[in-house]
Amino acid sequence: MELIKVQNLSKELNGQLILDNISFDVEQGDVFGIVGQSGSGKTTLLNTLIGFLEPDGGKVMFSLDGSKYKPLHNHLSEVKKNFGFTTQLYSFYPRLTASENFAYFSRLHNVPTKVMRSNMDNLFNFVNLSEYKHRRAEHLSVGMQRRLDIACGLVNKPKVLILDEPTADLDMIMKDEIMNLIRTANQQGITVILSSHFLEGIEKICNKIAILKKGKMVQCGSMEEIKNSLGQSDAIHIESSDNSTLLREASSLNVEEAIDKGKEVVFFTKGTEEAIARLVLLSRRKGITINKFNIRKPSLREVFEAAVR
Amino acid sequence: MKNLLRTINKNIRLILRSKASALIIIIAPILLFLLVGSAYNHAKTYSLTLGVFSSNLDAAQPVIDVLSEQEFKVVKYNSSDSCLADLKLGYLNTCLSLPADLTITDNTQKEVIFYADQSDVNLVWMVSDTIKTKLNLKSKEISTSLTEELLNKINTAKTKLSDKTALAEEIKSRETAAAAAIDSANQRLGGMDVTLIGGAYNESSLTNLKSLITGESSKMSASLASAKSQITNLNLSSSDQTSILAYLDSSIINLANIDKEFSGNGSYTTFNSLFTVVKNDLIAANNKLQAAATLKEGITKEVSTIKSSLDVNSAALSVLHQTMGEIVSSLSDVKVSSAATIVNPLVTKIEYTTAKKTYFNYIFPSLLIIVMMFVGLLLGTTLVMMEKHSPAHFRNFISPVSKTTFILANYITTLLVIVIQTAIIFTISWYFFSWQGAENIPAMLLVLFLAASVFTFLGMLMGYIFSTEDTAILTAASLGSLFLFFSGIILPLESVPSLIKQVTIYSPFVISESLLKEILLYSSTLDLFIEELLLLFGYALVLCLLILIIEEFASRHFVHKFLYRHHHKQKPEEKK
Repeated sequence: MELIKVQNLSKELNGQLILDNISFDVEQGDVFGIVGQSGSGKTTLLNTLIGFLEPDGGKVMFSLDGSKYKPLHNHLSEVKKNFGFTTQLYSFYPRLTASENFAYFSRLHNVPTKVMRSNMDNLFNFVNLSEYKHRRAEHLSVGMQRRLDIACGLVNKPKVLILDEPTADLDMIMKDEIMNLIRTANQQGITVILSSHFLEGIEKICNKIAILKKGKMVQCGSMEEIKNSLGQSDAIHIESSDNSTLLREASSLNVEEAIDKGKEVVFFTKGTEEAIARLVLLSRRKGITINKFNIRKPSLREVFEAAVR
Repeated sequence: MKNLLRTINKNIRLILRSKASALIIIIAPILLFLLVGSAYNHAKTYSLTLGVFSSNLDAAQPVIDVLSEQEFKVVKYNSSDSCLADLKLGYLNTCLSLPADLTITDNTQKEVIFYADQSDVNLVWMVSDTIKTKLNLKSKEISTSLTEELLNKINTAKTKLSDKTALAEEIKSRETAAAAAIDSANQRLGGMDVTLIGGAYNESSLTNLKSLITGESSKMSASLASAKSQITNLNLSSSDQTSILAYLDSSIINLANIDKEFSGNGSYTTFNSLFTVVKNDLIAANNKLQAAATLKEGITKEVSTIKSSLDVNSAALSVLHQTMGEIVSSLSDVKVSSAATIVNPLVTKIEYTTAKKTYFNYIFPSLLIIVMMFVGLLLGTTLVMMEKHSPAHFRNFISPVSKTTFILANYITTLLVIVIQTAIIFTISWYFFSWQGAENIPAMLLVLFLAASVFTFLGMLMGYIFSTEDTAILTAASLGSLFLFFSGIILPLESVPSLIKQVTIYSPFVISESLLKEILLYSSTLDLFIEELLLLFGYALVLCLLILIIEEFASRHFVHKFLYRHHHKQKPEEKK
């Protein structure tokens, strides 16, 4: 069942078109990832989905119980009750303790005290903050603050949780932890929409993604579809003594895409064998030494980089 | 040193790059200075409003005219109660009770009672001195008039006495002449010979002797005659009878001879010489008497002259007496004879409208409102700013709680802090400074509540209008300073032009302070201040509505600012 339907969404800010005719659907149980370069409109899109911004064009419809779809911006009170949100900059009171913050936001959502206490215990266990619940938020580490922020986003047991850059400013291990948390929340029945630059994490937990480029949606679909957007291609990873010559001669290699990654060059191709043969010939002709050679399916990062290049 | 300068430079750049802050920092003091300076940029003395009541206002008009000069505005009242009521309400600076008649007709000084409001500490002594100066002028005027009257009478007496000096001189010279004449008469009377001649005898003895002899003689004659008549009855012979009769006749003849002696026809020389002596003495005496008579005539004439002279003096003295009578009468007409009354015919007496013990009680209402104002303004601003700049603001924004709830929460939080502070102030004031408390506590609480609400909303409004904390707090502080300058606490409002004064009476600070003063110092009831209370309530309501409107705009602006900040934060990552 589709919870959220975005149809031809456009949004302008300060005279600039940030979102340009974006359409996608989010189904119940999805972990929907939104990726794109900085300034591509990810945050604006998420803020529109939470009702923070009103669309200038198109519409955002939602239905939480399978009934008739309603315009999101005309039913903000329902949205606020059933959606949870975290921003890239954490949103709680630094001078209150973790438990005080949780209790306060629970009260704002009219969560009864008993339920709130039970929720707190569960959620703090969930986000691994039980030991620190009496510590002031400003004294928590960045990772803990992120977890607290997620916990505060879950005070009302939302049906939809929207997260904007939940792994920003975190180290790799913390990023993985957060992603695991999000996956666990999803497994408990919460539909998740998140944006992130952590493509590996997105690749790990999202079942659907959308790629934004300069406000336009260049790709949208399941992870498989996105990865296959390069046409069932293989990715040939080569480290050589002259990557630039290889890139220059890419058109003679029967490849769809060639990406210079500095240390290595990646060629996407459907005809892998022919491409390898041509590569060998080229390198011999040009006297290029191939130091490393690897063939695999393209990663999300590679698809993304290809899409936004 | 260089680092110090660099840091200062950096701070200035930071301040200036917040346009609103820069504006407030530069403009607010200038504006404040211009406003206050232009309000007080004159050399006029304070425009005081005086209430005057008297049982006869027409008679008191001369004093009213003196008071109406220059900067004073005089309002007439028919009764003291209405005048004092207006004084307590702050419509007047003082009330004057003038006597029904300012004419001084006896030695009683006229009392002018001057009612002052001691709570107006800036003004009460100045008003007192100014009124006293004015009344002293009038008092001097009356005193001069009384003194002139007295001097006129003295001058008149002096003139009259001067006029009569010649007369007195004449009297004196006549007096002297009379005295000399009397002396002369005395001397001549002293030279008159009134010594007795012969001296040895006693005229009365002669007279007595004569009388005795004459008497005895008469008796003897009568006895002889009787005896003679009795002889015939006796059994005597005729010869015996004839002999006795002859003897009796001889005795009778002798007695007759004695009589003759005394009548001057006798021959007895002793009596004759005696009578001659007596006769000579009588002649001498007669001569002396004549001399005396002559003397007497002379003296009589002199005495007449003296009498005439004295008569003239008497007439002159009558004139003098009359003149003196006139002078006495004229001086008696002077009804005011007491030096104290002449020098000070009008006595001013000051009565105060309150009977509080210390000045602290008078300034307590003002202090309380000052504290309330600054706390309301600054804390209201700070709470709103804290919320706006808090990281949690976004989460609050998207929570299912109306903006009104957050506004109300900020308001009530500020109010709670004010309540706690006020309670502390009351406790400290009562314990340490002998504050006498309030009789009408509900009224006091209502006024405090309204005042706190107005200032809190005003502070919150600053918080919602401005986006930076420093700008908002600067503005709030400037606003508080403005209220304070135009409140009469630092400088009296009577010294500003009337146009500005008319505006300042609508200041919430002025209204709150005056209401609290009325309640705490005069135990006034709220029914007297319905308009002011409604005005405060209106302010609070309008400010609340403004906050709701501005918050609505501010929230939209917040969205854009939030996204702007977010996009800008993301830009460095793009470079990666």
